[in-house]
Amino acid sequence: MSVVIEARDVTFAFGQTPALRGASVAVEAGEILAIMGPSGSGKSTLLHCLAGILVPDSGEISFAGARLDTLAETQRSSLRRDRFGFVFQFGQLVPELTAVENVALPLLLSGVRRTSALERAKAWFARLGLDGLEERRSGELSGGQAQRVALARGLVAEPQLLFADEPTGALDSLTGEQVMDLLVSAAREQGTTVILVTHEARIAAYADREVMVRDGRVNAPDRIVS
Amino acid sequence: MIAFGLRLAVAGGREALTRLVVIAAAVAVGSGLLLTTLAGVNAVNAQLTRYAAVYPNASTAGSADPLWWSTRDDYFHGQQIVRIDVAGTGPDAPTPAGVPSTPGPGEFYASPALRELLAAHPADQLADRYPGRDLGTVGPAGLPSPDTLLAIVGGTPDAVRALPHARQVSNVGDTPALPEATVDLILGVIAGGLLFPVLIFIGTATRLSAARREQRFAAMRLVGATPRQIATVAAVEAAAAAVAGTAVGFGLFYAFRSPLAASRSPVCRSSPPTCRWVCWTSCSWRSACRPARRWRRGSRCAGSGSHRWASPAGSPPPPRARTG
Ligand SMILES: Nc1ncnc2c1ncn2[C@@H]1O[C@H](COP(=O)(O)OP(=O)(O)OP(=O)(O)O)[C@@H](O)[C@H]1O
Ligand SMILES: [Mg+2]
Repeated sequence: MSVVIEARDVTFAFGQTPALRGASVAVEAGEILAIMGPSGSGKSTLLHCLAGILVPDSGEISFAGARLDTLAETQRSSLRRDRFGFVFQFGQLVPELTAVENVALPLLLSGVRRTSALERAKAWFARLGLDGLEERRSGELSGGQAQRVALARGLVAEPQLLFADEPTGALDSLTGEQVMDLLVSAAREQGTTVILVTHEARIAAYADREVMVRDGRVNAPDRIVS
Repeated sequence: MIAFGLRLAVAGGREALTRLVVIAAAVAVGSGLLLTTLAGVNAVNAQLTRYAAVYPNASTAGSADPLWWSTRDDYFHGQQIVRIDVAGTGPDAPTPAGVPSTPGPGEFYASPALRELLAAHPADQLADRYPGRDLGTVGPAGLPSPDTLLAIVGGTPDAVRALPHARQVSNVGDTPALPEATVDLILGVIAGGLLFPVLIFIGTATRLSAARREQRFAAMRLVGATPRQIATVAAVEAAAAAVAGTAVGFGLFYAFRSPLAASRSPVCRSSPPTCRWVCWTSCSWRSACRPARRWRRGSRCAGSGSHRWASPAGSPPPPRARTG
């Protein structure tokens, strides 16, 4: 299998606080990779660098064989819109939009006509057990429902890569496992590569492979502490 | 994106609508106030200019032949009648405001209200006060108000010179009644006393919604909205509030204006296009576009490496104490 995205020796600091100190990781196409590690170790920062949300201070990010960290913000925006999907812990739905509009948002932003965007978005509601919630706003959804709406939005544009940062972090364990089941089966069906940040071993168990982030570096996969 | 921005502004649920209404209301009050103020200042100015046409200052400057002028008050059944006696001293003498030419001895002009009064009463009660040839009606430019009872009576220079308050006048009604500095002062006081609180209100209203906007824009950036798309949405939203607010402001202004105009003061009806334009630009747009600028500043900070834009505002910080 081929490497779809890779970080090489990436460093990143928030002002004086170093978050990544030479992190390297490579993800293969179709793989589901879990990034684990203690709180504050730099997992989210690594994910944001990989997704082109943050630009590394040094090191390289390459996606599909080309440098991503050297692209302009506009190009990274369109990459995020067309090739990447995101599911984060919370606060990611646009509160003014209905659930179905939230799901259709990436399509609308990339210029798909409203009616066909909503059509494609609606198809996900049945698939993720969200029937009848299409017209609700984010404030009117439960945590698990909102997270499934976010998952639908992450997958609606059929991205090559899905970035998930603690997607079940705000959910109870049963709801969390339902969301993970849906995430994994939808990703496998679409052949989407998944990068999953979590500190829960139960969630990491859904992945094909696990890596460990400690003090801003990625450790060998065989030294997992649970 | 424009349609999308409108959709967010007007159909974004009760909270979004409330936000829009609050900002629009603030803009409305601001622009209504400014329109009313400008029209009011303008009205007072015009009114004073017309009084100046009735009670001109003595002036002998210039090469023109002066006009002898005397303004007196006369009463009929308790109503005040303004009587202006004039006498030109040469072909270059100025003409009183509101009439086509200076009346000569034995000629007069009457205001429309006086004309009605003359017609309603026998000549020996009133009309005999204005003997001679009736040249016609005094136009609005010479009347402080449409119902002013006023007569402009011609005489010889010697006769008018002997009247009380007689003066020589070399120009009539073309000096602005309110000096520019006074108008500026009035506007300044109004702006400080009335508009400033309104602007603070607008500022507070927009700041209250800023956190919510930040969250929305962070969510949109996350799914790949370009900076330009977000700027468009922000601008459309601000414009929606500004347009709605300005429209309501105009409504308020016209509602205010009608009773003023009904008080039969002709000048209250004046509000030149410049005034409206000033209102449009200086008040409503400036204040309503502020959120867009606020956002732009915010995005620049975010671009410099803050994590905030990745994890939308409103989400609590991740638990730091736990270890994996
Ligand atoms: N916006 C920020 N400003 C300053 N420092 C930050 C910011 N975000 C993260 N950091 C710091 O960078 C380091 C790595 O943070 P990061 O969020 O990547 O950790 P994490 O592994 O995702 O932790 P968690 O499991 O708690 O989410 C930490 O020391 C953190 O305090
Ligand atoms: Mg994190």
